[in-house]
Amino acid sequence: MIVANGISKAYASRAVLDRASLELRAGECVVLTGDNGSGKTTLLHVMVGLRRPDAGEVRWRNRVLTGATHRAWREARETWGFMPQQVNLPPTATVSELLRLHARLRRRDPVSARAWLERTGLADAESRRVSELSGGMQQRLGIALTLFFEPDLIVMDEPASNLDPGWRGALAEWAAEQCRRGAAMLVTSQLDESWGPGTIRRHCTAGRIVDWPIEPRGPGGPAEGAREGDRA
Amino acid sequence: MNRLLAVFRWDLMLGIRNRFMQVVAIACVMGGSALLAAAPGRDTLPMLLIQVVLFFGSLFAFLIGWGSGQQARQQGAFLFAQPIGTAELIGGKLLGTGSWGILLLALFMGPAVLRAGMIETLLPLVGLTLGFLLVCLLGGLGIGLVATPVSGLMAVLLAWAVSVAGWEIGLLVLSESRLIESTPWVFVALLLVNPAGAFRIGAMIGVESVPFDAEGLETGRWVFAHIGAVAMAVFAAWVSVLFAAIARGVNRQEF
Repeated sequence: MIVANGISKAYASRAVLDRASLELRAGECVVLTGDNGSGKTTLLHVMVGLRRPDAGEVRWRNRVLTGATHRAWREARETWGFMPQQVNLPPTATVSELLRLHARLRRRDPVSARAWLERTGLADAESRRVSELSGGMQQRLGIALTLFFEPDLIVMDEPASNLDPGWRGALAEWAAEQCRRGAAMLVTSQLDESWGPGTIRRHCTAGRIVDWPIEPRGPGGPAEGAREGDRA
Repeated sequence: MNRLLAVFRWDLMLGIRNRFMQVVAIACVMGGSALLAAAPGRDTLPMLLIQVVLFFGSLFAFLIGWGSGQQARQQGAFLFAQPIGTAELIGGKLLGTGSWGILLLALFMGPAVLRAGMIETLLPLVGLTLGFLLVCLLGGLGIGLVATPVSGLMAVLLAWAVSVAGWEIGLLVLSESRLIESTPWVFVALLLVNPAGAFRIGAMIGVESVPFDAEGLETGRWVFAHIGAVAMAVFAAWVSVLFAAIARGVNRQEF
C-alpha cells in the first residue's frame, strides 16, 4: 500500500535516516519502536510528505510521491490520517468546533464523526475548550480526529503517550479494528507497550529499520546493529 | 471551495476569541472617536485618517496577518498533513483575517463616516484603504506562515518600517542623483511601486484633488489623473506576487 524505500535524511551534518526502508500492506498494523532520536518521527514525516528525504522514495499505491506535485500529495492525504507526536490543538477552540472543522476538511458528516467522541470518552466534553482538557483528553481528541473518517492509511506518532493504561488498551483495540477493515496502520511506540497479537514490530536504530526480535543492549534498551529487516 | 470556507470560518471564529483582536477592536472604536473629537476642523479629518491608516492601520494589518500565520504554524504537522491545498489555506486565512480587518476598519472609521457631510469625502478612500491593508495583511500572513515567532516578528516590524518610511527615505537620498533628475518618471514609479507610497499619494490626491502642473510629463499627468486606478493596480500586483511567494514558501516548509 505504502512503501518507503531507501530513505536518507540528514539535519545539517547529522544523518538521522540512512537508507531506511519500510513497507505497509492493507490490513497490516506496524509498530515502530526505537530510542529517542533514532529517526522514527523523521521517517513518519517523510512518509506523509511533511519532510523531503535527501535520498529514497515514498510510493503510495504504486505511485511515486517523492518529488511529486503538492496536488498529488494532497490527493493521497484525502485517505490518510496522520497524528503527530505534538497535536497542538488551538487552546481557544472547543471540542465540537474542532470536530466540525475536521469533518468539513474531510468532507464528512459531523454527526457521524461525533460517534468517535463517544468512543474516546469525550462526548461530555464537547463544549469544553482545548485549554480545559487534560493532556490525555487532548491526546484522545487527536486520535478521534485522526480516525473518524476511516482512513486507508493511519500514521500515528506515539499515540499512547499521555494515555492511562485503560485507554492504551482501547487504543490497541481501535488499531486492531482499523486493520481488520483493511486500513494500513503505522504507529511509533515505546518498547514496553503492548499492541496485541497480529501487529508487526519493526525497530528503528542507527537510521535504519530492522526486524524484531532485536538483541537486548542491556536493561531496557535494544542493541545497535540488529539484523536487517529490509522487506522491499 | 468548501475547504477554503472551512479555513475562513475557522480563522474568523478564532479571531473573535483572540484577546489581542478584542483589545484592537476597542482601541479602534476609541481611536476613531478620539480622532473625530480632536480633529481641528472637518477639512483636516480625512488627512488625519490617512496618516492613521498609513502608520497604525498598516502595523495592525501586518500583526494580525502574522498572528494568523503563526497560529497555523503552531498547529504544524497536524494541520499541514490535512488535505488542504496551499491556495485554500492562504485564501481562507486571508478571508478570515481580512473580514476582521474590515470590521476593525469600520469600527475605526465609522464615527467619521457617520458624521454628516463626511461620507462623500471619505468613501473614495475606502477602496484604497482596503487594498493597502490587504497587502499588509498578506505580507504579515506570509511571514507568520514561514518564519519562527521571533524572527517573524522582527521581519514584520522591518517590513512595516521599510514600507511606511524606509523606502521613501531611500528615495529622497536617491533623488539627489543625476539619473533621477534626468528621468523623473523613474522616481514617480519607485514611489508608487511601494504600497504605502501608492496609498499615500492616491489617498491624498483623492481627497485634495491636487492638479498636476509639471511641464512635459504627460505620463505623470495621466498617472495623477488616474491615481486611484493606478494605486489599485499596484495593490493587485503586490497581492498576486505575495500570494505566489507565500504559496511557494509554504510548500517548501518542513515539519
